[in-house]
Amino acid sequence: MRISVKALRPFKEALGSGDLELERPEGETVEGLIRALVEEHPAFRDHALDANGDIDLTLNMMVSGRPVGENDLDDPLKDGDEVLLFMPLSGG
Amino acid sequence: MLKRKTAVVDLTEGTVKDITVSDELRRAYYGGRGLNMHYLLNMLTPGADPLGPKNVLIFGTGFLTGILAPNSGRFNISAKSPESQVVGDSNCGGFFAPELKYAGYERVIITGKAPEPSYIYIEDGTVEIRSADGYWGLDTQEVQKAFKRDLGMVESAVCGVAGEKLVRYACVRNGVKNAAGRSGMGAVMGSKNLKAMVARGTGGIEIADPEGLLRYTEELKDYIMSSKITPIIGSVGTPLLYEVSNAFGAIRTKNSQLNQWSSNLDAAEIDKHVEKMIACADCIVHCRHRNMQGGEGPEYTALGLVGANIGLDNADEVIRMNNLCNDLGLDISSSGTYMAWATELYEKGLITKEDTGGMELEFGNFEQYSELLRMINDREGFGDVLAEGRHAAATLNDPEGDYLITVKGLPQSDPHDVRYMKAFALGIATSSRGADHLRSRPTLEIFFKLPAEVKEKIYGAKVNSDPTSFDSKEIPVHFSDNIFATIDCMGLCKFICHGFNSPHYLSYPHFVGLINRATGWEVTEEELQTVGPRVIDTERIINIREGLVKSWDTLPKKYFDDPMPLGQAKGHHIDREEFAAALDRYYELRGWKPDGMVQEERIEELEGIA
Repeated sequence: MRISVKALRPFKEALGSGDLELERPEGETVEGLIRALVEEHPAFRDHALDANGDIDLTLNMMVSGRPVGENDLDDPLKDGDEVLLFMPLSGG
Repeated sequence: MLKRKTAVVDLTEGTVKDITVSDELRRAYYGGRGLNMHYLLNMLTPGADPLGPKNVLIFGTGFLTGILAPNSGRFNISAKSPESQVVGDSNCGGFFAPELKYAGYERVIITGKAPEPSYIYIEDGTVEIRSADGYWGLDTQEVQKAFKRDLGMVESAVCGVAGEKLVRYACVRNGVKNAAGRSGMGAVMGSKNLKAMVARGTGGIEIADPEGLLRYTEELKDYIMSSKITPIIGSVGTPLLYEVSNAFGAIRTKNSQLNQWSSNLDAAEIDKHVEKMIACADCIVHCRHRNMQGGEGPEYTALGLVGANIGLDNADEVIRMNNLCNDLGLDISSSGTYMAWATELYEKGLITKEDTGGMELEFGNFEQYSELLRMINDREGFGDVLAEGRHAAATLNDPEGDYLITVKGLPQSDPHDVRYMKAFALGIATSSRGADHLRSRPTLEIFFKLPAEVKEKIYGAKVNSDPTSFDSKEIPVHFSDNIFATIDCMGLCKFICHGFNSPHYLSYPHFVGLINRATGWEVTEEELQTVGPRVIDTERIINIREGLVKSWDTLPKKYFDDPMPLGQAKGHHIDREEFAAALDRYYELRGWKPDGMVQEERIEELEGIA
């Protein structure tokens, strides 16, 4: 299945691009996608994973408009999903 | 310990008097915004003309300002706002606040009106009212340079010509870009014939445990720098937020007719115009850009409000708009909001060339908006109308302000379209000074993966994890209100404090650690947590005296009636009934009456603090 990833700073530098089009196996989960990206882009590891190897709190995700919460990492992606990766920040 | 003097300056009479501040009062409000509000509550005549001599203008440094605590160089300027319907208050960084403390003063309260253009000079324990001859009529950069030329290594907080001419959203400037930007404090200065506060100090500040404080400060710096967020803020700055909001579809665009705009204003584009990153006093983050166009910034607010909101998509042009606002001393949030408002009214035919003096207002016209800013600054032609801000609503054929993005008469401070994030919406609706992210923005709401038990520990109650639901969102807003008010009393920057950008960073235990080492007091966390609610309630009482009723705690009409048209946020808007229910729950949580009024016993308690 086809998955689009839009990564904002600082993640896009680590992934080499802010816009990725990926072919992923059916049933791939959100966490599976992130770990696959870590595997392919070692520079992404420090951003994506915390010291325990879990998905880092500061890697915020939305999948086709839906926020990915703590219990949503195992949710399967579907063909055509758009995954947005961004760091949660505030300011003005 | 840690104590500097407080002066009351009567500009009408030309007198300066130091007043005593008890430790009871200091421990009730500490400093900055909190103590400013105490004095406004006690000294401001309800119903006073905000541009008249009876308004009270207060410059108050943070409690921890000047002692090397991380990011502690901040102060608040407070008065009744000439722009909004309520209290005016604005927090500012830069280098003025520590200098004022080294000059011997932590707070200067200004009443009356000087008979001629003046400035106040504070040096090593003395306060003088001096003639502003030679300084009046200069812009914010020219006048600061002139003070340094004439007086040496002084720091100043100044208004520009916009302030002198009573533009209702004129700000106060310290340095190139640091601004007490919100709620028209520069216009209050102008109304008092006050061009500047100028400080020069060589005095130290007495610390109870200097070595302990230094060691603790080092620990806090290491803690702050260990966050993954700190280096991003320090290298990219707030422009990062533009692309986050924009990618999501939450950037105020063309007066909130749209919610998504060009990627030409992404941080990567801004980077091309950055000379270096710089910092305020005692800052370890350095979030500020020095740009190649000769100014500082832009922040996210500028990219949104003098960029997307007025239809500009060229980074160079937006930076030039940013620099012009800074030089003139105009609040960027308000300037961008009002210009976009007028443009939509023109496009819709509610105003015509006859109203604009021949200007054919159109989104995206850089030359036109640059000229309009200058006209506002000089109160010339149509600029004189827009200089009145929301007070021009009837003149502009929008008597109810249906097209204005304001709350309590204050334009929304930041460019984030809050129709998706319901806690953000409740936050700007209830903010004491009007629509503002710096009062209560519950940013932890966008840490989508923050475990429920962690949130519960932070907030003290369970909160619905769906950001699009109003369910239980009064809880994060209440929490954020309280800690942000406390941060503003301490004089710290929100960028290194808990709840604004991270579930980590400095929080009540750290504030207590700094306070006790600096003062020798034995303040507890429990005691310190009473400060925020006290400040919020004090501001509420001031606002009630100025006529606030429940219906003022609301949102721009568009946020209710118009669903967001674009992006991942498409379709979201504010449901009136859900909003009303959340507002009721917020009042209950804060201990206010169902009509939003403060309980009589609480009023009596706060009025009794001396």
